[in-house]
Amino acid sequence: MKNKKILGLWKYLLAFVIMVIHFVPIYMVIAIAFKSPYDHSSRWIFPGYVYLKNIQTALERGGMLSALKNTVLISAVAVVLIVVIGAMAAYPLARNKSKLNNVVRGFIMGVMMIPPLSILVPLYSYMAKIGGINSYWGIIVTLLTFQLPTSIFLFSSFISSIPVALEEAAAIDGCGPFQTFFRIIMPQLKPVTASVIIITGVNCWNNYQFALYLLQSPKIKTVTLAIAGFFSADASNVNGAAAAAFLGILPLIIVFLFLQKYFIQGMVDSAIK
Amino acid sequence: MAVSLAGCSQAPEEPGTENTTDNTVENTVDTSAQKQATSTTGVTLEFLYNLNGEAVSDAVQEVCRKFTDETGIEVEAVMPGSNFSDIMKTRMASNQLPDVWTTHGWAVARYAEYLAPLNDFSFASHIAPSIKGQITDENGDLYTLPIDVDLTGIVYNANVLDEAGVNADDILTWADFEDACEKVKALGKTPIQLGGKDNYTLGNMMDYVAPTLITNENEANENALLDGSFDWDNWNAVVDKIDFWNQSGYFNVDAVTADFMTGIGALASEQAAFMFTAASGITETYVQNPDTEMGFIPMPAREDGLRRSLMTGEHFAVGMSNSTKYPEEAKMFMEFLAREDICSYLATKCGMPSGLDNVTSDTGRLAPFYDKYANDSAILNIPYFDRKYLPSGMWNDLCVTGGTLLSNQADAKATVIEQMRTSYEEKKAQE
Repeated sequence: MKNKKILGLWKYLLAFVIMVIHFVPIYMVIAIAFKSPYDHSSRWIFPGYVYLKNIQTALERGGMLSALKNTVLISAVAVVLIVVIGAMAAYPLARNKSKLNNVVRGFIMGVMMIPPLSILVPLYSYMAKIGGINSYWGIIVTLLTFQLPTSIFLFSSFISSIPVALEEAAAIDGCGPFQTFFRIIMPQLKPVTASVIIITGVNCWNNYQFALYLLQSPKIKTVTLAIAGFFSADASNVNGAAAAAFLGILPLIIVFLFLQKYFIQGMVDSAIK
Repeated sequence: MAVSLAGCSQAPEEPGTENTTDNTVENTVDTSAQKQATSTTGVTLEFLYNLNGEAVSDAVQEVCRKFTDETGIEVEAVMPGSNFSDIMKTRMASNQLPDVWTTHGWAVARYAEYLAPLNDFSFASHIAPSIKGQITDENGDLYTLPIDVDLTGIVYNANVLDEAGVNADDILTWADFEDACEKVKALGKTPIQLGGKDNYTLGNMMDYVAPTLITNENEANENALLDGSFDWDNWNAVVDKIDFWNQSGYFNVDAVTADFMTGIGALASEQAAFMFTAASGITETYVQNPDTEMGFIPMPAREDGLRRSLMTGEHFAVGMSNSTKYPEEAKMFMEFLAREDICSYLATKCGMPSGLDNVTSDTGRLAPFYDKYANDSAILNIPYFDRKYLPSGMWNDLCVTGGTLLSNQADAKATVIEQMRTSYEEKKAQE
């Protein structure tokens, strides 16, 4: 009994430590974002005043409004395509256990193992040749390429656990493969879709390495590039960067706070399946 | 806890913004050269630059808009942040260069293959002698337009040195420098501020110290480094010097984990005396604390009787691609940047001496130092060590080995020398 209590206490303590570790970067961002650049006190110390000029700098000099608009557009389109194409590609891979499909599945999973920066030069050359630099479609296609394997992996694992009897019943009722997929299978995929949206959506939102090279026009820069613009080798505006980071994470936090019930339910259901 | 974490209740007073209303390109440039806004030509030049100070970046954008107003040629000026060099390497590898870009010290060694020679431009005859040799190759081809010139020594906070009883002008040798460090340390302040989290600050230290101990007034070592026969046991001089400073406690306690801006903050708050950074670091310090007093001294000599030195190099220098789709428009832009009024405006914003001898610039609070050192024959003007004497790609080795020296690991000195030797031999073999 006593051991159980101690174990329970440790769990809470561990949870608290993990919570603090996650909260510290957010605390630092907020503390620095609302602190005057002329305040030389430690960055750990929260300012006792509200200084909004950093936010103004982030919006005006950093172009955060335009960056947020671009990031929302790129992430939303990329995630929709990742979900739809990923689910459609995963369905035959999960259902037809042929040798060819195993090879295809292995190939797709293999893409997950390629360090993205290792193919940067050929990727950049190719995108430049086909006019994909400084374009929405260029970065979306690139994100899609590198996020699809994750999506296909999650969807195909989940679809494998859905009873085939559902599709057989649909076939008896006269459904073709597409009708079966969209009417019968897709509704079953809600839990795993939540996981795919979270994992790939956050990856798209936070993407820096591809955006840095493929989006060099200021008109099309994303949140991560806007934040990076506050740093160079010999001059940096840490307060401006923190304010930009604060604005950059705000939409994601708000979305998560409003939809956390669905996301957590989705993750749990996905795990149970 | 909340109380202890809450800082002062009022935002600190911000420095004055005198002269900002008049100091724009519209009010500074020669108005006789202005024309009515021209209709757009449909051409957009891509200009990649690496200068991020707010004043400089605003000035660059303003000048580009001015060029568009006068010519109808759009200029998309992009500052991609601290990854500028990586982006340029990728674009070189894929042969997709911008139309014009800042060459940041590498016009000849790295970018010459991709840059158009500028010998036929009107400004070619006005290049300042102190920089000309560094931006011209052995065939006499000029590769970049030096809007200003970097003149770099060791940055110091004059108030801290005064408090420690040190006269900066008396620091002639490294022994004098170490005496000054001892006095600052006795005050309880940091003699030498480093920001190892931004490991280029450690590279800077190696780059600044090495020529004074290895190549200054030592032709044999100069030639040996250039022809590949350098004996890397000589590098012990550099390693021993920095290790001695480290063991003597001259560096800030967080030398490995602090970043560059923390160092600027330490100078601004008068908690540190010296920093190995370009004069632009002084400008940044004044942004944080305009009431402090900053200056720079030449690099001390290794022993009595030898000359002190200042490093000269590119700062804001612009090259033009030899494969641009718009060569005529790019030429117009280069000539525009070299125009006396425009060049003077940009060099003034950088607070550096102009790289063209027909252009003057207002270097503000740094003017007395430039005036004192620029034409002093007792001071050697030397190129940046890595750019002149090390094969391309060894900058990173300087940064990494600087960190190794601070790590206090048992075999740090031997490791550093071995890494430098190996990297040098490998890269020399690839040349």
